[in-house]
Amino acid sequence: MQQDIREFFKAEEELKTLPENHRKDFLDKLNAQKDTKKVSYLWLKIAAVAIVALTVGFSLFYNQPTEEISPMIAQVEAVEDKYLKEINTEWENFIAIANDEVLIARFEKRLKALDDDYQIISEQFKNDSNNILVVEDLVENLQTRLQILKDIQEHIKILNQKSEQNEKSI
Amino acid sequence: MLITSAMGFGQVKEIFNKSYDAKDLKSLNLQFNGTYVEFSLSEDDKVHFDYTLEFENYSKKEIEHKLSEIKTEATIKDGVLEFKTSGSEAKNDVSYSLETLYGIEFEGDFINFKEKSNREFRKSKQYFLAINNSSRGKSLKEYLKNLREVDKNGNKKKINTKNVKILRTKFSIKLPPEIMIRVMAENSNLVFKNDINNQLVVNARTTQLKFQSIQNPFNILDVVNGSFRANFLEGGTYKFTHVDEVQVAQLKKVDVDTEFSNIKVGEIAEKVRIVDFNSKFWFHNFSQNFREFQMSSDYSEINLFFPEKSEYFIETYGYNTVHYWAKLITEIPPSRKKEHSKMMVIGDKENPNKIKIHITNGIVRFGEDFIDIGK
Repeated sequence: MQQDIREFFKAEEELKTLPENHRKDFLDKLNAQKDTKKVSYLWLKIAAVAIVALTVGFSLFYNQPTEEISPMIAQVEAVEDKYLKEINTEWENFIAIANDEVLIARFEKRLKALDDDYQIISEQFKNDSNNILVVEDLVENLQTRLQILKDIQEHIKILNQKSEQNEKSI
Repeated sequence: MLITSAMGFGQVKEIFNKSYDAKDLKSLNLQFNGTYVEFSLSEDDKVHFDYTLEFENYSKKEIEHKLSEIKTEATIKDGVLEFKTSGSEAKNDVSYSLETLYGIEFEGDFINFKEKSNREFRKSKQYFLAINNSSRGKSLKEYLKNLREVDKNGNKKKINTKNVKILRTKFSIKLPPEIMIRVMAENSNLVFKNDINNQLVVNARTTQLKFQSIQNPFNILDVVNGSFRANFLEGGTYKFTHVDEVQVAQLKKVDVDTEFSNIKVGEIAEKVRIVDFNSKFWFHNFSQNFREFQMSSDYSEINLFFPEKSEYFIETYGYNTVHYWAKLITEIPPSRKKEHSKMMVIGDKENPNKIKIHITNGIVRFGEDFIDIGK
């Protein structure tokens, strides 16, 4: 597999562990994103109201109420969106430095299994969006995906620090 | 059969209460989905099921709805008692549920990664016995700590505990000592309160498992996701796949197959063999006569504290692998022949207490009292 060696080193440079202030950074970004979300929901609401008005015009007996999205669902959607973007970035970084197809296939399978689990937990969340334990399961699932991708990159980075010493006998 | 009674502030509903004479039974087949169960030893050679739920702050309609979702059945066929239950969705002995008009918000940290410390100290076997014995779910105060109720104007306020529905699960199964037990569990929480010498076959998925001592050479446990804690495992084969927390105080005469898991062992005793792909291990101690510990792994991270209770012989073979021991670093780069090379030898080859590690693409750290993992 041919690869531009400059890309290889670039990927390695980007390989970092979580910075110490990652929580604060993340929450700041999250809050900023929440504001953006509100704007998009406003448009959605306007559109929904317009549709309802049109529907009422056709039939006095038919009324489609607009439904407020629960604050918890909005929060989880924002967190999910942010995590998935980071997971995707880490996946790209991982496949850029991993030269073992078996390893990549095993991680692909592992991430698929985690995603399948996530879909099951999401169903539980739909039915019980106020259950913080379900929310914790969702977040833990996303964290696990991100963490295993960061850990394996760190592992590969250590292995790639080669030396000539082959054997020590004590 | 449902029996209702009032107890304290809650309503108690009996889900299943039956006993079976074990004389006519060859084995038990237990299937749990979304259930919290506590197992203990039966003293009268009978299998006892005692399953009740206690509801607090639930309306009559809500209780009826919850009960209608719980399916429980037991049948006996050819000497096998098959028991199935699902629908409770209680993963702990106490579960909380909130209902609000305008929803709730979480004020805590969604990005709460476990902080890694750079230096890990050797822990005693007793340390693991103590943590494995501890059992505590979240209190209502802890549960509500970071939650705020939102009113119609978007203002946040503390949640009134009177609005929290509490479901207490009391599900006890008492097991006679000889009978073979087969368990299939999904999204559940199983706590074994006594030592188990029965033959045990367990398939668990996304389930929390907690054992005291499990001893039987024919045991087969296959655990996917969830967590696993035990004091002593002796005999049998264990498979842990994607298990984020495996904590065992002592391993003895077991074959363990692991993948993408985190494993902490208080003490390795006789004849332990481990095969792994991409897991993290902490081996804190070795027993006085551990005889032989064998490990074969790929992309693993192994942290091993040297045996203290006896003389030993260590031999490691590696391919594309790094060893750390204090300030000494030994590395085996990938070879053209893709063969493992001898990396480290400590002690006398004739010593009966042997540690043999074959590792590919791995990291091994050795330590006396502590191991630095920041490198």
